[in-house]
Amino acid sequence: MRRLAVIAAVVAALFATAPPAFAHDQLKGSSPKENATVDDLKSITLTFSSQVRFPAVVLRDGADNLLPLSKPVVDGKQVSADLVSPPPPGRYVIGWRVVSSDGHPIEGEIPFTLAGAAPAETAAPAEAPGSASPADSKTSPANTPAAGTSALAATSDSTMSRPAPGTQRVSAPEEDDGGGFGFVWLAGGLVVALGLGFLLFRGRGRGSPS
Amino acid sequence: MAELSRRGLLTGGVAAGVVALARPAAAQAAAETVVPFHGPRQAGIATEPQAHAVFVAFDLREDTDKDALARMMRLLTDDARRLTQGRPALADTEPELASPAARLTVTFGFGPGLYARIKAPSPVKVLPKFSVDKLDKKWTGGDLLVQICADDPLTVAHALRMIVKDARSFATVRWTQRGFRRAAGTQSAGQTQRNVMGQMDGTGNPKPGTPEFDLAVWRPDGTTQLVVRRIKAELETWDAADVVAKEFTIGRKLSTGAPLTGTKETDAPDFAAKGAHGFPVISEYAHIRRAHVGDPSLRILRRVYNYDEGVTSQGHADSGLIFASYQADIERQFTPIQKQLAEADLLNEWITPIGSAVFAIPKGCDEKGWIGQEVLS
Repeated sequence: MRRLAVIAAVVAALFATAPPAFAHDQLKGSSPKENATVDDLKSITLTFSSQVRFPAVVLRDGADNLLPLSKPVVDGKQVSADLVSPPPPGRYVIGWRVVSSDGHPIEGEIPFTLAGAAPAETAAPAEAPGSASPADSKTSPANTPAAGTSALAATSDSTMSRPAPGTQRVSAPEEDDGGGFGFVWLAGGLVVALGLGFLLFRGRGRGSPS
Repeated sequence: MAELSRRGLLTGGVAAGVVALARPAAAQAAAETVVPFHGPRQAGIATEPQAHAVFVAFDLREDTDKDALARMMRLLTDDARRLTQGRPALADTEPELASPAARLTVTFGFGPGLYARIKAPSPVKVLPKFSVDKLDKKWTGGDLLVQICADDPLTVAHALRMIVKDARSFATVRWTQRGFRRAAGTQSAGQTQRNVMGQMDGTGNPKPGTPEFDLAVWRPDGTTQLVVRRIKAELETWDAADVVAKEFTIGRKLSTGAPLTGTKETDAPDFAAKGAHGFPVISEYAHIRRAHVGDPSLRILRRVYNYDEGVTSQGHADSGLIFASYQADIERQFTPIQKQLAEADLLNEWITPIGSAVFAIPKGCDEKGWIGQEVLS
């Protein structure tokens, strides 16, 4: 009963703080798609709800090495970057940051697998409200220790590192250190994020330190 | 009766308080009101910025030759020499306005057109065109600049009137730009001020009296160079941006002015720091990164003033910044920074340069000399 009340309060707070956030642009889709397994990787395309500015796109492999990409190009609502050379099969994470048409920065990560020899792993997408990403159901034990200490786990005390609500999905390549990044949820409602994460995604969710 | 005496007590108390406050404040202000005019370098540059300023630019009249220029500068120097010390100018029509001087400074600059007139090489060149510029002729250029600053707006108005009256037989007024900072005494000296967009402005300024300041601002001969740009703030859309957007744009927290990687305004920005997804905490396009200069000799002294003109019938502001920067060498110091900003600065979405002018600032003079003597004799 009490827990329900808390959830109700959290949800109420969420709705109270969320509206301005919906003014920001959102990631609508990507190629490769989140948690997809693809056979071929020549370029990365991100599609947003409206035209964004100052795009930054990086591609990291399972060992957190950056793969060279062309300078990202904005074309209408799409941002694309080409791979300089074809990468080997394996798990990858696209990291992106753009400036929303209202000036608000949004960023996120898109894990996917390039088909081939490398074993697939669990991705843990958060089911953030408004997020319609299908969860990858494949599971397998973590097997790349290096990734756990990657930039994915890097933290910052900056508000900039906190993702925007409704646009943020960060999938952890592994569930190590008891937390991973189930998802990170923020904006005016960091407190809300912590509350929600704790209640609904206990053991998986973790808010950015502020 | 009780009511009356309580009111009496209250008003009496307030009056006593005002008197108690006013006495030492007035005494203090009177002692600090005058900035020396004479010296190897002109005042109004290393001087702690006063609360009010007017920048007035002149075009030389066609018949103003080198001799006429020398006559004009003797006159204007004499006006400045008197007015800055709280004394009326010669033939001052409102001599009672000369005091208080309120830290009045009058600083002179020569534009490229003045050097062309006397057929001498100009130390300053018109700035290259930047992609973000939407320059309006009415705020751009000028052969002669006078920067008048004081902590009192009436003092500024009087000094402007005197200077313009003595200049007008030699030159016509091209533009005037009035600006303001926080009123004197409302902030402690040296505290970084905010601009109309709410940002701290001038955090990275070199500090007067340090070797870094001298290196960045002064040339060995006591001259320096001034850039004046009128930068309109697009307040309607800026107001619509949220705090995260504003802070991401600048790279600093609005509340404290601290870099996004720090906690205090004075903390050095950590441009290498990465956020949760491996992107720099201070964006590649953040204003403080784009404007950052590592080499102290390449920094500039921002001595800026806000402007806020008439509001439109629809309630839209005409506000912005009179960007005034002093540096030893515009081409070496200012131009590279401005190029960086023009290429990619998140702030460009909300600011538009609408005026631009450059001036060489002659050295100072002593009691017998006049400003520009070495150029015009």
